[in-house]
Amino acid sequence: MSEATTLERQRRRAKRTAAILALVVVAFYAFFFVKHLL
Amino acid sequence: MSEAAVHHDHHEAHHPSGIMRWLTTTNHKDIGTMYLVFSLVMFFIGGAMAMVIRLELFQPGLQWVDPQFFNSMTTMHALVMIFGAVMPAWTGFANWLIPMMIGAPDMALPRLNNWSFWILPFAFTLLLLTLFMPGGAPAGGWTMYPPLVLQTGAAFPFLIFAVHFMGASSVAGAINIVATVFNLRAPGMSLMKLPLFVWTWIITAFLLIASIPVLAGAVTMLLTDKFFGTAFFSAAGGGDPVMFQHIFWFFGHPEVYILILPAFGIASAIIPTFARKPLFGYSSMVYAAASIAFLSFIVWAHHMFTVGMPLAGELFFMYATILIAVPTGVKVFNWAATMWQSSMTFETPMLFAIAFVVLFTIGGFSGLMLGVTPVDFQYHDTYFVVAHFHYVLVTGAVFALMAGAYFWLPKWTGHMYDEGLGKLHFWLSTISVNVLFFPQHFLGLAGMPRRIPDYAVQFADWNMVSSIGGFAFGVSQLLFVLVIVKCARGGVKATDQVWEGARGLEWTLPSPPPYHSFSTPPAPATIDGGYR
Repeated sequence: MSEATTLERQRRRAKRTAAILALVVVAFYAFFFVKHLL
Repeated sequence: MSEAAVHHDHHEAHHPSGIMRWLTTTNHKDIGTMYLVFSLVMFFIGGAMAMVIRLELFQPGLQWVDPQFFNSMTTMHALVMIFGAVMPAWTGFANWLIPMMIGAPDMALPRLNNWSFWILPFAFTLLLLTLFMPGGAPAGGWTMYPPLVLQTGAAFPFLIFAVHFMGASSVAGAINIVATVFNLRAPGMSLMKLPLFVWTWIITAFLLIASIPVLAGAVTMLLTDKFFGTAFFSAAGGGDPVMFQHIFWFFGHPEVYILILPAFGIASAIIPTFARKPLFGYSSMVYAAASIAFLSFIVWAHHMFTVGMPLAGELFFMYATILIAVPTGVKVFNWAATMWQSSMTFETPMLFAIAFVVLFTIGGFSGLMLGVTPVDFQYHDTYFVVAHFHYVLVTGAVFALMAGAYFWLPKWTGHMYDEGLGKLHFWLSTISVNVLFFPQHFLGLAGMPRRIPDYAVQFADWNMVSSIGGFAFGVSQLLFVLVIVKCARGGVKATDQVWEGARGLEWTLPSPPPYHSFSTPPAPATIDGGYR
């Protein structure tokens, strides 16, 4: 497998990691806000 | 939208020049440089505010500014220095160094990286504009406690949105760093081979991801309390103002470690280099940093012992706080053990790193004193607290930033900096910073409160000494700018390795490194053997 393909694969995985972390951030923010709203 | 995306895909093939290079860049080195320049500008803006504070406190009585403006200065100085100077400086270091240290061509999400940076100038324009608004800039302290902060004039929504933008920038940067380190490491670069700067930044990034949303939630609640009729923090409406303090410090204490953990990474890179010995206890350093990060989430109420809480709560937060001394002690002893019986030389980065270890430890000791609940009742809201956190943040975080800047400046610019000027900068800074902050311990123990523009005459002498130290420290930093400008413009050509004892992937690249660092991953053989 060529290096470029490896890098592409790494970048795809990185985007998935970032998306999961972004969801964590939004969920945490919403949790704190909603928790105190109720 | 899709056309723009396609256009962007071709963007790396050619580099725009002039202002467009900086506006549109997705290169980690360009973005790192912008972060570092931005933070240096903020360092001087925040420093100018500190000069106003020390000028007013030079003598008892009201001399130069009115009390409201004085309070704005303490508030804005803190916000600018924490969110504008130190945090972006660490992100700048991370951008420049992490891809080179892990053998990656760039950050994993280059466009997000560009966005993370360019949010910041907007955030700080919003914040600094408040200085010219009716009612003045925010003056209720950087902690933004209600109900006081709700008395802020037209500046209030600007403060809230500025904090949101700063937070968004930090979170995006943190996500990018986690995504990069977990996915773009060169083959053979296992987690326990990472340089400690990368490790400390990974832990910092997780702290940011976990704590910034809490701050965002808290300030959003402030915003709705002020403008949308909610009563989260209003006792009259069934809310609880003390709840804000709990939420704020649940963010605020991890924030302290966000500011200092990368400094530990810098010290762990510099000390082995100039001691010409591998770092003592690499894995214990990693576990100590992770332990500090974990503990940082269960100590928040030590900032508010005097607010009133059950005895069991006070005991818990006191013990948990004192427990942090254990992993921190591991780190300090490991740095000392690295230097023990080594062949040290004392170039400017090493001088700043040693001063960091000694002076940060002084800040750590006063932190221990403040963590003991019964004595905190005396120290709380006095200048002793001001002395403590400035030892930790100025002789801690800022000294480590300077150590790191001198250490990697030859790699970044391709030129050696002026060693004589560097050492002069070090000695002037180290002497003046102690003249500035050490007397504040005495003032605090004698009972001088924080955040006041005037004080009883018994505090006059040490305040004058502290102000003289402050002015000297401020002027000394102009030397730092001189060294950087001289180094960027030219000088003796730096070698690839730069320092005799330097180990790690970034030192295998030319000085300055090419636009794209590792287009092909480095050979696994070059990864082992670093001082880490």
